[in-house]
Amino acid sequence: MKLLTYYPTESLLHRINPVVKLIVTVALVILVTFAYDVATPLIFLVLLIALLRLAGGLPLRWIIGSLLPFVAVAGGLFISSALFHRTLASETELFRIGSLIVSREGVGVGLAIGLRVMFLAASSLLVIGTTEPTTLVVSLVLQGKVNYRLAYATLVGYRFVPLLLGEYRSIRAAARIRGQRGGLRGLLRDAIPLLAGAVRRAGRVALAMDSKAFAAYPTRTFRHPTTMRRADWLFLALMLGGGVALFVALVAFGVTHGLGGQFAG
Amino acid sequence: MTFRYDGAAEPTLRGVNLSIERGELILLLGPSGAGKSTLALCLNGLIPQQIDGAMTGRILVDGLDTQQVRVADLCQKVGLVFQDAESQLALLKVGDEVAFGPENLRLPPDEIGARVSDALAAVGLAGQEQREHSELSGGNKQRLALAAMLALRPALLVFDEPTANLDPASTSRFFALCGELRAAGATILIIEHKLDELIGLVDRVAVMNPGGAIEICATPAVVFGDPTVAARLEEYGIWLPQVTQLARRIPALVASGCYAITIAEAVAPLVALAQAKGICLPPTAIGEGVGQGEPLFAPTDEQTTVQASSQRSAINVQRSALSTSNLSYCYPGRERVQALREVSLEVGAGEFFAIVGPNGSGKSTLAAHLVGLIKPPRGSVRVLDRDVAALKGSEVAKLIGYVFQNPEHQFVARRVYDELAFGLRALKLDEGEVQRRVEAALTEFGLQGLGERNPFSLSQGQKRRLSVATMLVVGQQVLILDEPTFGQDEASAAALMQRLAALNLSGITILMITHDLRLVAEYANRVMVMQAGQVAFVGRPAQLFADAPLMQAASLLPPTLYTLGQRVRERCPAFPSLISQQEYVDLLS
Repeated sequence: MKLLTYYPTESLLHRINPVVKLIVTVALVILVTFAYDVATPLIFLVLLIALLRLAGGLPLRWIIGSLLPFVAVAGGLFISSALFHRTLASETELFRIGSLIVSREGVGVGLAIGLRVMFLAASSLLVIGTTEPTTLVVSLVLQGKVNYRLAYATLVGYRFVPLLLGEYRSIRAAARIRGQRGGLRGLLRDAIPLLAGAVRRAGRVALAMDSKAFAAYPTRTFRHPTTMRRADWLFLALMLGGGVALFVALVAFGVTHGLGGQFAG
Repeated sequence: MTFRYDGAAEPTLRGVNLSIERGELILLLGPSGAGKSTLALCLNGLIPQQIDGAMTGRILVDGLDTQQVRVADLCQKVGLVFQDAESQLALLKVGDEVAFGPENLRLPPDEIGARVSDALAAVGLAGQEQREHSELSGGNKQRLALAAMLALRPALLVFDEPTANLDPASTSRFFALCGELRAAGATILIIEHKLDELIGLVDRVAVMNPGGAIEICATPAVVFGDPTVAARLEEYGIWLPQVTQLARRIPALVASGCYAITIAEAVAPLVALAQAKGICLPPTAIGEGVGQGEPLFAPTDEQTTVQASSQRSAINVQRSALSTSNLSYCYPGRERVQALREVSLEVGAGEFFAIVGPNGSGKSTLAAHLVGLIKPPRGSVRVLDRDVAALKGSEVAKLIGYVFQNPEHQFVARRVYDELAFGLRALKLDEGEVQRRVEAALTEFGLQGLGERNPFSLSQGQKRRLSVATMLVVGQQVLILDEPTFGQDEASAAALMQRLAALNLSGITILMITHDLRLVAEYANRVMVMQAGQVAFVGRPAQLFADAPLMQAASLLPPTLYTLGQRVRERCPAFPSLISQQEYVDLLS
């Protein structure tokens, strides 16, 4: 089970046009950014994970495993806000660690920030987990009107990341055999053969792509073109409408607070 | 036609004249740097349309001038398949890769789908459209690269060393595929070093000389059979079929005018020679019954093996150079695959030891343990009687040299001189001593006058020699090499191997990882076969070649000269089981 990459299975989300999923992801992230409380990102996060599990066919283990690296980031932000937020620290004291005062407000802000990071990560899984990179590129070209040369160049670059990593490991190993140490100077030295290799490889890929008539015409066709079907429009409307409706409802019930609590009315 | 790259002083191609008929399979030979790949790039118009330079003369493909017609249109006439499959595959999935070209040509989806399935079926990858090509083996990646070209329905296929990165079994399958395509009417131009298996399929051989012109283009019989032509090929450093090379080194065969190319052609002259030398019974003495029965005075395999290997370094059991005991290993995160399973190995000081086995069988993982790149458990790996687990990286580096497959990876300096001085300076030798030793190494490895050059600017052969030199300059007594002759022409490969043999005779222990059983046959005194992380065989090369079931299980093909010897033995049972050129020459001269 490869985490944080495309998870191949059959599901509703897998069939949705990738551009639609991209729009939904960005829209939800922006929406949740407006909330400065703990409950709102938490509710959205739980609902999103449920969506990934039920409509995306992604196993909980995969979802949680893919989110784990972000827990470290979110945790770091939480601790720095909870412990070191000076203005909030003086309000409602919970406990002290030496000279550090942990306040209820500091913990609240820390949790809110951390949970928003987690929501950002989880919503990116909506695209990453259910979309083949190639399909994403096709839909970006066809529906997103992105220049196909640019889109394919990016895809090719993405494909070469693991190859370059493998080459880097081999260079590191060779340097260690020579009794060389790592560190910043080592990194600079490793960069030379890595770049030499990458440049040569890029040249070869370019020749191979030219040999297959890449970029010969202003447009190209696709074996499996992506389209906007009724289901895609429906999904888009449902997710955007549902997201906004939920947010408004949470504000109305006094759950959601904006910066300085101005939604609280 | 003539072509000079922009910025180059001399033209790479100089007056090339070549005509390829429909349905022909042409083998293009030439020394490194002669311009073979440049010629390939000219054929579909990449030169001069994408790569700048000055071109005179012209190339017509199916009536289309490569300087007038766009590459996009020419690619439907000429399909290029390059050496490195990995860098030709731009996308992630098998089906997408094959669809890439037809999509660029703006064909309708139905047509693309049909072409994708046809092309995949033609290379034996039918039904694998949905697979990611990172899951494919090296051989199948190269087939996929070919399918991606076939989908453009070209009239001429051009292969530029397509099997360079493949193991022997995949190589022979790829050549078989070339034969199938040829039988189906394809026209093929192939640049290749591995002649022995290909030569039977070839209609004509074109030879480029170091000056960048086609020197001769004729049938294999003419090119390799004419002693003056064959001599010129050797002079240029071009690989000859092994059988031809052998025939040229046995005076009696040269005198009788025998210039065999294939095994089948060499059997009769060798049997005749063996009879003349009294190694076999004369033909009259071998009646029908005797010929099929036990040989009358054939030495046993054991005797011949010992006799045949007398030239090689003896196994010195008194002193161990490298040893592992019950070494097992799993890569982190891939616990289900055992990369090494209880590998016990004992290499004596002064041995020339080879490790063979399919890709992914654990050869490199084992080597990584021997040099401490992967920290072995305490006491499980010993180098020159010292526990590798207890040594620091720099201490291991003083005992043992490791030459990587890609020499560039281990260059650390900007000058060849500093590259060699690096290890010596780390020992805190004074600069005079460093200079003395560097100069000696430059001379020893044929790098005189190159001290000021940047290592990256050297030729492939020079880079390889430099990487070997850097690994011995400190006085390491054990040398590990990963595919030492990879990507080199005959001249530089032979020179390197002879240097290694000389080092071995001077007492240096050599451990060589390779796919090339010819190298094993010619140089190694013992060989180990690895399979799925386990040791499947350790013994003398001749014993391995004789074990047909094991050879097959490990995807190994017996070297040409061993097979030749066996074929001779069918008709002359007393003939010893020879494996190397030297053994044939010693026996028959």
